[in-house]
Amino acid sequence: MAPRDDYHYNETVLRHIADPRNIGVIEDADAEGSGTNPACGDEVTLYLKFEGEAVSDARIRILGCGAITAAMSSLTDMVRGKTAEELGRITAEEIAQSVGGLPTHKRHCATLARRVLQNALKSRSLKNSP
Amino acid sequence: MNTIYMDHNATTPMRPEVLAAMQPYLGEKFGNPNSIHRYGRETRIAIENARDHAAALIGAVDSDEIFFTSGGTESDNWALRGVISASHGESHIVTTAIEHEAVLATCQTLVAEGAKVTYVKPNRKGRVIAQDVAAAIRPDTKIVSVMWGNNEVGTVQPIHEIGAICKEHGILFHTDAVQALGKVEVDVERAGVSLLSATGHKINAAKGAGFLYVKKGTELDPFMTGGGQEQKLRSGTENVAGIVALGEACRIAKEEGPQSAKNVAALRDRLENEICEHVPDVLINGDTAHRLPGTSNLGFIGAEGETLLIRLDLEGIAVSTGAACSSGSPEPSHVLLAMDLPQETVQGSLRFSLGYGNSDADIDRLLEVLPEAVSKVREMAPRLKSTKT
Repeated sequence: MAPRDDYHYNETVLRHIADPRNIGVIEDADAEGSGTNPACGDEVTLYLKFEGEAVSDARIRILGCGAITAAMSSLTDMVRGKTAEELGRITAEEIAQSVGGLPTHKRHCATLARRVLQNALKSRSLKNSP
Repeated sequence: MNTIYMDHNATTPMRPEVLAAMQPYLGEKFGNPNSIHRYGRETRIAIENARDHAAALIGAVDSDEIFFTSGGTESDNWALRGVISASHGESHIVTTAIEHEAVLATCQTLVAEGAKVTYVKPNRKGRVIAQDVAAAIRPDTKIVSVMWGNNEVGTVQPIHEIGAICKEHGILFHTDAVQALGKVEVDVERAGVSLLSATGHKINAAKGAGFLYVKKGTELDPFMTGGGQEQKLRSGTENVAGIVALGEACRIAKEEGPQSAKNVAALRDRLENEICEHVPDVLINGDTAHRLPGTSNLGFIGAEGETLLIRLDLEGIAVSTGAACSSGSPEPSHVLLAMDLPQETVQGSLRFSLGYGNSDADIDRLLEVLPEAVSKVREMAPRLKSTKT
């Protein structure tokens, strides 16, 4: 059997890059998190809006490669309807799997996506703290 | 979908006449060129014809100075390892920070084996200054290795000046001419080159066949040992079909090279001028006064190269990028980094490399797609920079 292609993007990733979901800004966001990858210069911001305890809207801004674009695009769908506690449990592996997996040399993009989500959750905690 | 190929520095399509020339050697002409019988004789003749064409293209005095290899990487490995292995005493190599990985990785291996290497930095246009090479030469320098034309930004190096310096110091001069061959005039005698690497698949021949030019009298140990083919310096049954294709491509390049280079340069200039006209905030990476005819490396400020590349790919247009993580490495292109370009230029870099088969219609199509792609990618970029980690 031929070895699995661990270099190219799969079709799901390509679809996200061609048409990323939920690009934009939520002006009155309840949570906002950013992150950068200094090695490659990728730069991401995630905005979350909560309705009650659950996420009702998620938007992103990205200057980055195909993998971070796909990971963040998919993450905006993953987070909808989830509580902060559930969001805290999302792993980098789950984000990578949500786009059908990423090549080994691109897995750090899923880690960056998770970190951005964690930063957003931290910002919400700060806002809500007395 | 109609597709457009603008990545000729990565590899090139085979020309139909090259494919036609090699095909019999994948079929009925299957003999081992080292066999005494007629099967062997007919493939030997084909190989020696190819050697003559390769020698003629680079201005070698004698066809025996051409040694067929599996391609550019092997030729680079052999030139450096073969010279160091054949030399005596301390070994020092002078090369540049913008060489192909085939040279850089070989130097790293030689360092682990005890050699010393000096990497000369280019200027911000990707050009090495010949005097900087001269200044790096030491009494124990055994070889200077400087590529003829750079694969990423297309900058053509001052090979003749460096050749003269090496001659003056009595040091061997190797050049990786993989990108330059067939695109600019390559004359090893005039350039003072002792060793030159070339490969077929960058000049519209097949993958898997290249050559190393070794000037008569150069002390070089073999890299592949075995049956003693190629004057006992490069063993292994010859890749006959690949070598025939390489020879035919060399013949065509000798005949058509100068005119093709003019045509391709005109297309490249149009591409570059019109992109700069239609897309704001674009910088040209490289040296426009000393550049391979088909190469244009552009930095799209505020966009990311790989995302642009994929958007173009989804429209059927194939290009390349030097942005980070785009070639299996987490770092951006070592060439663009060595040129000290700002990160946003490196991150937004795209390489268009034109060649055989490209036309004005391809440029028209690119210009229909690219401005919108750049604009969409830029629109996605973050505007807020708070809570960064």
